[in-house]
Amino acid sequence: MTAAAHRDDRAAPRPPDEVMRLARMGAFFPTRLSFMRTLLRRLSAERAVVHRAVWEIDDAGFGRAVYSVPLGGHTYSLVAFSTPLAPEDRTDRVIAEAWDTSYVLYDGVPAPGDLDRLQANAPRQEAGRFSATDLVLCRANRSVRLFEHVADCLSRGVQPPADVINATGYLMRTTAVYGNGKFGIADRARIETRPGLSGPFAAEMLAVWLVRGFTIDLVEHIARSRAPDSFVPLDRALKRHLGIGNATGLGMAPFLVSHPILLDRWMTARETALARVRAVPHASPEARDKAEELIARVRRHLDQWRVADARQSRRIEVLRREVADLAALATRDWLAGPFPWDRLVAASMRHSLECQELVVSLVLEPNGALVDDLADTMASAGRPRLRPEMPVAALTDLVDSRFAWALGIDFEDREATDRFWYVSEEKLEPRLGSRHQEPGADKEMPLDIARQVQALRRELAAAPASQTVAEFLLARPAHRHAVRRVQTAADHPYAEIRDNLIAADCLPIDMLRCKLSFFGAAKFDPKSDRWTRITMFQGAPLLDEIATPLADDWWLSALEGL
Amino acid sequence: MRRSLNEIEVALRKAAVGAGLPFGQAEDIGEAGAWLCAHGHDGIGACLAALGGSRPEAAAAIRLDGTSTVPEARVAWTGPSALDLLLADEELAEIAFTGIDAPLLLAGCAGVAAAAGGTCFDLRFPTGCTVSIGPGGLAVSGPLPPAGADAVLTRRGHAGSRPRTPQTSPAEGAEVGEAAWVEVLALAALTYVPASEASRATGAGAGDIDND
Repeated sequence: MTAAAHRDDRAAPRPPDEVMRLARMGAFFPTRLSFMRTLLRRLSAERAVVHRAVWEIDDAGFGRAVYSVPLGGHTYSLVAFSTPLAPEDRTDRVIAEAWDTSYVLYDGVPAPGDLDRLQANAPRQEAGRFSATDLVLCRANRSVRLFEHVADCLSRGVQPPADVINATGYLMRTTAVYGNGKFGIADRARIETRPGLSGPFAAEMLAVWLVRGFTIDLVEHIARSRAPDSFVPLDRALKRHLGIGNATGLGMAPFLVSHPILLDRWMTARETALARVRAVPHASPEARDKAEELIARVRRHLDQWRVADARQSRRIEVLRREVADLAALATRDWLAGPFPWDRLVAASMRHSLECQELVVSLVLEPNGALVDDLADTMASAGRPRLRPEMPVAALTDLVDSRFAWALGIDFEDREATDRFWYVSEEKLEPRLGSRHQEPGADKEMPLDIARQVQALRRELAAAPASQTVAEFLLARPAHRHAVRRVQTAADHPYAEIRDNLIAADCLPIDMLRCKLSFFGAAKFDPKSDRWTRITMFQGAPLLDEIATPLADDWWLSALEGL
Repeated sequence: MRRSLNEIEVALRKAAVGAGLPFGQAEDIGEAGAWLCAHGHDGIGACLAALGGSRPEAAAAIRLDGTSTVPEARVAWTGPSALDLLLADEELAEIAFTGIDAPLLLAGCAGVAAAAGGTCFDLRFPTGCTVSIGPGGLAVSGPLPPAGADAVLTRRGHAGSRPRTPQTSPAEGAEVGEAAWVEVLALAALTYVPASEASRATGAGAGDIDND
């Protein structure tokens, strides 16, 4: 390969066949384009000041509070409710009907009447009804391991041990964060053009960041109320290391399939950022310094990332060794050579997928000036639309060129159709069943994209080449969904996960991790192949730190002194 | 009760699947119903009118001298495809429908196409009623005929019409009658799978503690 050709290749985004595989997507880490980072950069740039407008919390920690923050010319308020919860009622599962805390992100500053309305509904969550001024609905439960321990320590005048803080990493864990019209809250249309909230999940991320602030205020309030004379506030570094936990299950998995254009936007931004950075001929001394600091931080982060899951534990072990190798290689002098980021990416290719994707996130980090504008391209550009005038011949070409990965799957093999996705009548949530052992496959959700496209391809072979898609679908309406997806893929190369999502070896956890990494989550802690714990905003600035330089320097944070 | 447009669209899409429509068509019907609601019309009722009964035997439009005809028009089944035909063929000026089961939903399907592509449509009935449909909404002149009416759908070039101002802001959702909503949810429930011992044990990937 010539030097020129090599440069061209380096500047091109990675192809979808390489990127859009579940195993790789399930190895993603947060980047500086992740939605939490984008939101906090914006708040920091605006030097936003969070105002705790209401604090009606009793000595036991129950009551309500309101936090208001200006963003992009609007004011948003987190309305928080803390209520008693019997231990036997505390569960992260969907069967829960009560929670320690519940929240609404309100559009504006709520009047007393709004607070009363929300107090009657927010603690009921799905059973409540909400209005178009309510942007996000969520709830969180205390960490049984940590919350009381921290309250007890602070009330006795001592700091909780750092290793105990790190072992959990959050005081509370959200179990659902609802947006976009659920239970009567505002449709996304209300905020989709607003500065600061126009990005994907920006309102949800704002709510969670404010919730994190509330959990810290709450534990300190309880501790102070118990023993005002001996109470000490929580050490600021420990506070910063407390994020918000989250338990995420299959409810989130179909999202990436049902939003192909949005997925394409996310992936395109990420891959374009990587391509830009790989094309940088020389790194500045400041960038090399930063890279060295980040690699050291990553190593501490990995040391502090401990999970019970055997598979993920093995992956982390491997990753620690591989990053140690890269740390030895990627010295400041080594990075002073030509195309340093490209060489670092290339060096990672001999390692695990987790290491490769960690390096993708790593090389973006010192290059914010080069990539941060891409965050503005990650919102959806509409929904898939049919092109009815397209001839069957052109549609056939599209199937063959964009879905070769799907056409190669042998669906005669029982393993290839072992699973089916469905909505549970009991929980109204997506679930995954075993087709050959459980009833319900006749009500399957249409996540079997590869199988649908294969069936479409067979029908196309029998149709006249000059027939339009409109005429084709008039006689074959069952293929409308597949046709729309194929046509969407023409302009959106990263729109499809290029794996069989109903195969016996499909791991939904990979879909979850991909999406959560775009949120900005870390410390993935799988509890099965279908649900995971994560930590959000760990290391992020606190409510009173948003205007400081710290606001954008918390990627894969680590607690010092462990 | 006020429902968000997303609630409405999702529920109508599920209801359409529950009524037996293929998923791709159900997507269109859900979107059309929500579009109608967003513009102050009874999108829920329009969809329910179209989702009853079984799949029509002949769902084909017949091309005839530059005009296509959709007989016994079941809008949920043929509405999206009729719009496709009109948009795909510049030489096709209009499509005639007979015995339309849900005239308002047909207008909703055209409304979605108008909003997506900037095209304007007219839906003309023999009674003299005309529904003018553009990206911003629809305007109805005279009483909209009931189910069973005939009509002609015409493409009228790109936006430039002055549709009626939407009565409801898209961001505010729409008021939905409880009886109709219950009917929608009942159809949607046909897509749900009852819990079984196996699904409770493994469907969500349980098996580890979740409360620590």
